[in-house]
Amino acid sequence: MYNKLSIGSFLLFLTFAVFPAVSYADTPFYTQPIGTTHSTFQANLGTLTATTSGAFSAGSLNAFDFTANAKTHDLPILGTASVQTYTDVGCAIGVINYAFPTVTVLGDNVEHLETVNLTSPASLSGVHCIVVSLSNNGFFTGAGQYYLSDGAAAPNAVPQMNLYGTAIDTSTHIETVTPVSGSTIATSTAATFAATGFVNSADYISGSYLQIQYALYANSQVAVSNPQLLFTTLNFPITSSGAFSFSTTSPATRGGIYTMQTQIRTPSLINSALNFLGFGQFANVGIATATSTKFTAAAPNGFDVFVASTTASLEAYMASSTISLAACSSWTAFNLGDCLNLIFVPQLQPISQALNDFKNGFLAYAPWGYVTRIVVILSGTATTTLPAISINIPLGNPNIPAQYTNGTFTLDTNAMLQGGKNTLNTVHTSFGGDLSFQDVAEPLVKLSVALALMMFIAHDLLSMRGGRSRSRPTKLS
Amino acid sequence: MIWYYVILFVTQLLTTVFSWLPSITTLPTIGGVDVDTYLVQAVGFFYSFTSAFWPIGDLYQGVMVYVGYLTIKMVLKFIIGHRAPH
Repeated sequence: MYNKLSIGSFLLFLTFAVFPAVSYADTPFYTQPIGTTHSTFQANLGTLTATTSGAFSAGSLNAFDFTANAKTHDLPILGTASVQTYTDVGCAIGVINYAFPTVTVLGDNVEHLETVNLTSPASLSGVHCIVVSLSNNGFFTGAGQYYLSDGAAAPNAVPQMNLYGTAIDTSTHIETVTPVSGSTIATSTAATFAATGFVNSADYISGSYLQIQYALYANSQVAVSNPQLLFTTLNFPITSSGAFSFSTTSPATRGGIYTMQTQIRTPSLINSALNFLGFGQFANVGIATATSTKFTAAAPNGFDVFVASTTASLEAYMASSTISLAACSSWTAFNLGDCLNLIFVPQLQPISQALNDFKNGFLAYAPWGYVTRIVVILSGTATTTLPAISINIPLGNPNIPAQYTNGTFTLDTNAMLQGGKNTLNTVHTSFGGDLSFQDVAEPLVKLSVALALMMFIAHDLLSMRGGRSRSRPTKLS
Repeated sequence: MIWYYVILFVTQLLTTVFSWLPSITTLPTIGGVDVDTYLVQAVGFFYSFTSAFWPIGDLYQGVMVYVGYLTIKMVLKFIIGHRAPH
């Protein structure tokens, strides 16, 4: 019995002495808790720089390649309790010149950044910084020889490891929500909804949960008996105090603006009692903290587009108007003529924009969109150079190869066209100034065309074709 | 302002109501013939021609305005039926 215990104790001793619970490649030399952001801690990089040395010129940027001395170096961060209150923990490698304390370490020397896993405090003891390799690090030095080694061998320049972290807000709060407020997401059957935050141990009550509710604004435009039913509700149980991070997917298939409410909800004794007594309908949960955000799902519906575009178009109309709104809205600047003009006379730019929107929107829909497209093409102004046409013509006697050749006849239609134009433009008037035939005749042609067009349209609109419209029975007749 | 909002309202209403219809950006390819490209090219040739012989261009412009008028009338007739101008 004694021997068995002795052997067991010896083996147990060996286990802890030879194989420590957490093993790293190098002996942990840094055992302090994480300081405030960018606080500096000295650290000896040990074998990383034992054989590294270099000469640098004074006052200039000196680059030194550490690649040849690349080592895997492990910096454990000890002290679980303190780590829990920090996030974005990382470390940086640099060189401090003790002879010239104003040395500037250039560049981002962070070789590895490991973020604390906030949802699993047990894993925090394993947080460590790993120096995988150092390369092309540059820094200013003074004159002379500087060795990159530990302080004992060459005290001029000592590598330094900085450990930093950001303090976590330990009050009960909601840190982030997804979708981010004001953002636009794509409509999807699996949109991501997420929230992160922290529950202080003093505020934590068993049975707490995070609740995300979201609903389309447009749904609230109609009267409903129970508005709560408009919301899609997602619940995430909070099983312990500390940081939390929840994420799930849920449909947001309709486009438009959504309202989203995120709450940390806690049960209460009164609620428990009401539930126990069968009056659960009167139970109400407490809301520890809440945030209300909104987001937009892409492809907003017509109502949202109309509301947004109407507001924007009013501002655009006023911005383009030559008449101030004050002509109608101000007691002192009121002007009846300007006001009538503003209200009833269309402004060219916004009207053409509105008509253009009509053409590009409604008139582009199939099937009449094909007609619109044809009209758009026919209304274009781009010209295409007329092609040259080449014809191969056999010349000579086909029975005698020596006399037979293949002649090419090219008809350059563009050159012919331009030649005709130039010929026409050589006709000039001998009186009334130097006017070409086009200058004289084109206004008359345009006038004729315009008059004919007006007559066609007026005739069509006024239904002067034998009173056909009157003879046609309609619902109103 | 009044007419602007009438046009805006009609545009938004019709665009919303018919938003389920596909939007046409190009003419189709029929039997391997890219109608859109050929039509664009043909119109380009025609404009090149009318740049030299302007009376044809002026007449064409008049015809196009009339076609535009007929198109608008056709759309109106489609939307509001017999109450559109005949």
